[in-house]
Amino acid sequence: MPDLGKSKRIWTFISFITFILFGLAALLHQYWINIFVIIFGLLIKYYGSNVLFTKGKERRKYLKQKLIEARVISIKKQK
Amino acid sequence: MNWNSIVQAILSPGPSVVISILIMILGLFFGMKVSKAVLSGLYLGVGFIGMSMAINQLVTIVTPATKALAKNTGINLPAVDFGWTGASAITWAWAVAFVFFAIEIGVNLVMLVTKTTNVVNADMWNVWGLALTGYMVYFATGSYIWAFIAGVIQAIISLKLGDMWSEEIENMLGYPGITVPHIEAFTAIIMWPVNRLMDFIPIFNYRWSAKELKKKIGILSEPVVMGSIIGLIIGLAGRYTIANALSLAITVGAVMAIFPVMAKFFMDSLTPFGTTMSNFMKNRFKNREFVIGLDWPVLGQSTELWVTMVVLIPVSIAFAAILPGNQVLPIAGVINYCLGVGGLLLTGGNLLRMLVLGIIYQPLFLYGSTYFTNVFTKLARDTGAVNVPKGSLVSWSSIEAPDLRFLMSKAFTGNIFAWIGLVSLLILFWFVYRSFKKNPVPSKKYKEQLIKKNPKSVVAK
Repeated sequence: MPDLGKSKRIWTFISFITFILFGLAALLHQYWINIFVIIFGLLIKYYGSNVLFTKGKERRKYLKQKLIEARVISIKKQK
Repeated sequence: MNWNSIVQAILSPGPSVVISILIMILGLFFGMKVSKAVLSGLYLGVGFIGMSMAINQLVTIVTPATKALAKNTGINLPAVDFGWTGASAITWAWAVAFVFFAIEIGVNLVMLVTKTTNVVNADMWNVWGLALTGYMVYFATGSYIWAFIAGVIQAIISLKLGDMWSEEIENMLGYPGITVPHIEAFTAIIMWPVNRLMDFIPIFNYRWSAKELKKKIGILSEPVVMGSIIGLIIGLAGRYTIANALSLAITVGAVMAIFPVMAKFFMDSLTPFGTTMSNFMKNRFKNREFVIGLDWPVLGQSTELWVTMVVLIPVSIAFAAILPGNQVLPIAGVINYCLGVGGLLLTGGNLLRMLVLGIIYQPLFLYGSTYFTNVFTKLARDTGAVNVPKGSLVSWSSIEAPDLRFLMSKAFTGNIFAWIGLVSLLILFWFVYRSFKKNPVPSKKYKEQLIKKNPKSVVAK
């Protein structure tokens, strides 16, 4: 899914659809709808996360780099 | 003037509205553009609503299964667990509860001015926890003074907990300027000695995150799968039909699938707020990094948190059945946030440690809730906020900081052993606080899993 994979708007839309489906399942007590929530949730986790949550990821990378530079954690090469 | 009614009216819209408005006001105060401040507040509110929905859905679907399980296994425990919602309802109905609102704000201001904390606690919704502690002490001692002193002690502890976790939360979530000063994380203090022992047991010193587990046990480590299996087990143990058991399984799986996504979504939107606040503070207060205290759901994107809380559901029910002297069956409070949040922050997301600590410390909560059964029942009857039929008992199975509350209740009646216990607990807290200040990121000490081909090589990512 190369185009879908890079489009933040589409992944945001999919996220909201997922939340709405979850809400519907809860309100209507139609728990089978959660099957789709699981499918969309997993899709977002494995394909959409990198597109949707870049800020958090970059921030964590930056913090990790700071920890490495401060020698709080270290990288060891595999033999 | 009925101050209690005024406070309750302010807080009645719920945490999602109250905290959103506070964040908007703080955002404007820190110099954010109006549109950005409003958006930050709105995103936070929407996020909290979403999370509340997910949590409530989990409790709603698990509660009847727990009741069915108890009925079918013949577990008959006298006290009804009404969870945190029942506990907060009866606490806010206590005539003196509003005073603790002032205690929380007053203690926070004094500590900020005296530079004994960097936490600006925006989590006003959870002031009821302070009021509950106050009532417990008042119930034991008959003294409002001791009740207020207990509230002050808890407020101080909460703010210091917020200071303790702030760097770790930034490292864990990637968001600057926020922390969790919730008293439920005080469980980490009592769990610290066993966690420290685990440092000497090799198996606990590997990186047991949900991601790492996947390399070992593949699809079974996927939180959706784990949650669904637990849900199915609970449903079948409660003698549900296959269809209903599958509904339960799928719903638990859906919560595990959606919650981390929901949490990340709204937390990402808090980044502009956190950055603006941080810059404001750096410009005006040299050498001080303030952090905003928020409610624990901001940690909701942690998969390890949810896996721990869901896996511990059948554990708490099993303990309730077998522990001698226990009077409470976990129902509304069956999801133990204290063990989840406390374990997450203490261990840095080491799932194995969180689960083992959860199993070891679960009895503490059942015995704590049994001890406070009479307190909750009297408060419920006195306030009329929750209907308790004659001869019935109510309690809260996952009561926050049961150790601290028990010791303060006993100590302030003059019990010397309770005083020794309370002082020891506070000394332990101080020790753990200092330890976290020196090593604020516990996850850094864990090694990557050994690779079988070359057991001597260790690679850190």
